[in-house]
Amino acid sequence: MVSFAAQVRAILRRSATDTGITYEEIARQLDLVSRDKKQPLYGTLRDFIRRGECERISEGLVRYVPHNRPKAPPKTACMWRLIRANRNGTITVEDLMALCTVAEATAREYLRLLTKHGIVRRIDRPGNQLSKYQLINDPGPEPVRNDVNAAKLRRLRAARKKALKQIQVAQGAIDDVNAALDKARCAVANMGDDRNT
Amino acid sequence: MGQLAFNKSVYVQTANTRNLVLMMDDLRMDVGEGRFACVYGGAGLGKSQAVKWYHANNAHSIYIESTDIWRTSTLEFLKDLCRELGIEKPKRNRGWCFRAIVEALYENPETILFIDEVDRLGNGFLEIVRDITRISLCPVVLIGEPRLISIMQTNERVWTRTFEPVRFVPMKESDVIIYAKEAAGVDISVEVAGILHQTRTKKTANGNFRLVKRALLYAIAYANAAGSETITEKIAQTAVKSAIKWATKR
Repeated sequence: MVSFAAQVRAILRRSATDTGITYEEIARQLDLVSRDKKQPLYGTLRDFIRRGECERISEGLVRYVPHNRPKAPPKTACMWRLIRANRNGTITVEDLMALCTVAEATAREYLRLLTKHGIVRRIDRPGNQLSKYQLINDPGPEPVRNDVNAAKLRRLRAARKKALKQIQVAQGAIDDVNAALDKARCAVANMGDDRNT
Repeated sequence: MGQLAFNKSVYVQTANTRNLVLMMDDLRMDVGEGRFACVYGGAGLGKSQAVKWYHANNAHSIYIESTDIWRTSTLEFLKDLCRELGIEKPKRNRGWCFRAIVEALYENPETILFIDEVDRLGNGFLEIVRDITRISLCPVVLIGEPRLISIMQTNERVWTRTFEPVRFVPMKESDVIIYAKEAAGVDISVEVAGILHQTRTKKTANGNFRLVKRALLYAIAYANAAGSETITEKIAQTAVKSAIKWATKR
């Protein structure tokens, strides 16, 4: 279910950013007729203005201000940024999982790639303790990407797309055959009726 | 019988982290004005961890940790900052590095600089950072122990530019309950949380994040060894003693 604030935000987003939108217009789009029903709208807009999501142009007229929180970087970039931030110490698979919200396999694979390229060094620890990784060769802020894996994924995606298209074509052919069969059955049934009559 | 396990791959957002995020949201709304922000608090309260988490998950931020070399050479700081901004092969010249940094920040005006462990650097360092924020208009977030505030206050031109400082405070007992639940999936009573919270030593306060985490790790290990599915008060007491043993020896 969409929250009331989300509904108001959607209307504000759709409205013109230069001329703004009136309270009355928002209320009309939300089917809020009576004064009592409009009260939550006033409260929501007051919160939006306080948070900077919209601004009051004049009495009863507001304008949407897009929220300027930046988008989160992709997971590879997130992991790379964290590894570089920890360059004075070490990092573990668990750190990447916790702070970048990635799966264990993703974190391990990325660290394995960096180890293979000689960017990080793996420090094994005794017992069941997880290995630590240390940045030893910093190539700069641009994230190191797994190009081989990316190419493999691209190939798989293309193959999947192709297979789906073939399935679609085959499904179309099957539908045509079914339609023809239905037609033939119908014709046979009609012929049978003709014989009986 | 299932054993208790501590899951280190979970980042538990405490009230401190939430305050940091709120401050960063406010700071980003004012992009286009050179200023400082400040994150301060005692050691082991999770300042650096929270900032690293924020930096990793938000584009347009730069994180650098101070090194002792910066105390005697501002050129080293400028060169490190150049590398962070992707400026290859910075020259051994302060003026060149400074101009390169400002130009790089002009191209990315939404960049926020995080500089960790600033409290060990002097006032001269703050002057250079003030010039960077004043000219590039990019905000700078300084992170350090409580003496950072007094260092900043001595320089009025820095202090008047400072946004709202975020103070990292020790965990509360309620935070310990939430932390145990989220990190280890174990429900602990208020009494047990109160015991695990008692991490006061000569140099640390109650609720020191590092020591509470260590105490919880010990408590889980002891509970597993005793074949208990819950952390009892007795186990918690032994765990806290083990956790703060190293700190009291200092």
